[in-house]
Amino acid sequence: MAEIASFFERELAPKRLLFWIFWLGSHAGLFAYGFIKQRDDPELSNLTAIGLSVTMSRGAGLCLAYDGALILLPVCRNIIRYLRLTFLNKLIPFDENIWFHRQVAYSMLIFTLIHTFSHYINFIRAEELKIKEAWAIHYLAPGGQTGHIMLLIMALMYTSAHRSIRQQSFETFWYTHHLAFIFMMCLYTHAVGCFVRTNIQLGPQRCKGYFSWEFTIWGGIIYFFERVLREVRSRQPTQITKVINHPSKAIEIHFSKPSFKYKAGQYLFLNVPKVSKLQWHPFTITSAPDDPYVSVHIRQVGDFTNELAEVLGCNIPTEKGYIPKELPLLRIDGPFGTPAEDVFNNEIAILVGCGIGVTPFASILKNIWYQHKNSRPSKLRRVEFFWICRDTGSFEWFQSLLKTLEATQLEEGFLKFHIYLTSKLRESTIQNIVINDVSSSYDPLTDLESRTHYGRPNFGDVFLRLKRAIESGRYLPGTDRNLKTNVGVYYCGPSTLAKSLKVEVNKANSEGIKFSFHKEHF
Amino acid sequence: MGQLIWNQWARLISLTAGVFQLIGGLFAFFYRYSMFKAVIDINFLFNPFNYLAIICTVTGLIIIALELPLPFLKDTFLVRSFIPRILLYVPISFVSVFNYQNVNPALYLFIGTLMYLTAAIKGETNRVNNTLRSKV
Repeated sequence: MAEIASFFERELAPKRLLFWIFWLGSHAGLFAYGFIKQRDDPELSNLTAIGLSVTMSRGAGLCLAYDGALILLPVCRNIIRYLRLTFLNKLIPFDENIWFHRQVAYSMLIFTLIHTFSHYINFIRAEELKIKEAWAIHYLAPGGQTGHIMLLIMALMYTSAHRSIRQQSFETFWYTHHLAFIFMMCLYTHAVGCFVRTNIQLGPQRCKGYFSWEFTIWGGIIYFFERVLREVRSRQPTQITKVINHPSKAIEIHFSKPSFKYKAGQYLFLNVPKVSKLQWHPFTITSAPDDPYVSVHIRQVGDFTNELAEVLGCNIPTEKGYIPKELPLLRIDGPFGTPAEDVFNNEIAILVGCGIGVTPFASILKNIWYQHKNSRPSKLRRVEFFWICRDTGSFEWFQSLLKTLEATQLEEGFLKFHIYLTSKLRESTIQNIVINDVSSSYDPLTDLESRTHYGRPNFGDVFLRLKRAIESGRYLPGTDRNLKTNVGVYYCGPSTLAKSLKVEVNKANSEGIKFSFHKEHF
Repeated sequence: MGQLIWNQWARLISLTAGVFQLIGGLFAFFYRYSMFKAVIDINFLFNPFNYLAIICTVTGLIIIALELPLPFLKDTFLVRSFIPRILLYVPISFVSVFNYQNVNPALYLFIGTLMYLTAAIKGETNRVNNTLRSKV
């Protein structure tokens, strides 16, 4: 029951509800328009004679043209990036582009079923009415041929885009999805040969279809320019300046690309032609805009990352290390994603990272540090950083960053770390903690001054204590208690925790102390 | 990112084909037609029952039952191994071609069968591997 309740709560939230009304309404409206126009048009009476199935297929056809025009727009990531900078960002949540892409695909599937099954009936009726033989319409007419090709492509694309395949083998999904090129070509030429003709008894016969390609093709043209833009941007001169081989199989690549301008918290797509000409992989930028280089941290977890490490000479275990004669060519597309700039609009920022979801915060933390160091004016007074992870072993590189940040604290208590370990510890590790934890001033596991917590954080409690501290004036000395305090909670990690965290944030929200929740997208 | 597990994809495609097969079979009860002229004229295929429609409907249900798989089929040899499916799907897709609406499902099923064949050759097992660790 709780699941159903939360489903309705999510889907009927004002913004989402507005979208559903627009989305379902526009489809229902187009369907009805196509349906009625076919039914009441005296010039098309020869087709309407076939029956209800014709009006159905015409209505669904109009919806399909609408979806076909829209489907490519949300995947134009470069264009969306520019649009995000405009005022439109307040009206349209551009970060949900892939979600929208999926919604278009779902409605496309539904109307494809209506359209196709209607046509199966149409063609039988057409044969009965001695218009044309059904098999000939299916396999000889251009409309039938392109339709069947599109159906096959849809079967392949939809199945390979299923989450299980996407997570197992992204490449399969990625390459199969490029069948979309053939699909779109078929979509634009689906009406070739024109089967929606006016009644010959009412004067000279002419074509009276939707001529939908005239507007569906614009989606394709925009997407074409998007791909050209990607190509141009990725060909700007890029030079690897440094490769650092971290323990636990993490590599850090520094590169310089003068044309590359980014903000903290964004990500980029990386392509190494020597490893694979076609594969583009997303990585979070871990350097701050003030750094003289751009850096990404790459963990060797899959085929691509392993091979990349091989090419960079990171997998050769020698004492001195190994320097490859020639560093491979690097191609970068980006940056993408929401810059976490609005962190600075809060008095207090609470950053919550989960496992690998901590990577965008590397850049954000660095950026905060730079801002603070150069004493650029910002509202930000306090930063609380939460890191929840199973084991720190695989994120040693991040630890070293935290250590530098902690060591170079400019102002007492400005930046606070809370590290939570959720995994079961081995007995020897526990012994190690017991022995070392008591006397030393550094935590035995993370080597930070802040102590590691074990288990999951209770955010309800954390927020409550924070609120009390702010109200009593202990937390932000010198702040007038009557003034509004903004607390921004920034989260990056799995969606299950995001939901519960959001609930806690909403609970903690009050008149004087405003809590707001922001989620990073990947 | 790992290797493609062929039987995963094959299952999804076969499931799609199964649903279409079922719809096409049901459709055939109302419209007796085939893409092949000769088939429509074979009288015993449709008398006293529409055998072609029955075959398509039942095979559609069988495919869905095998691919989901239904609880009573779980962990049986039929579901665990790919060979029975390959042997079953080839004749199904061959017969389905002769029914009007089942040409496309037959094609998808054949593609699914080829994928299962690839899976069998590569020696994949049907066990869902839970090696994808949660990232928390």
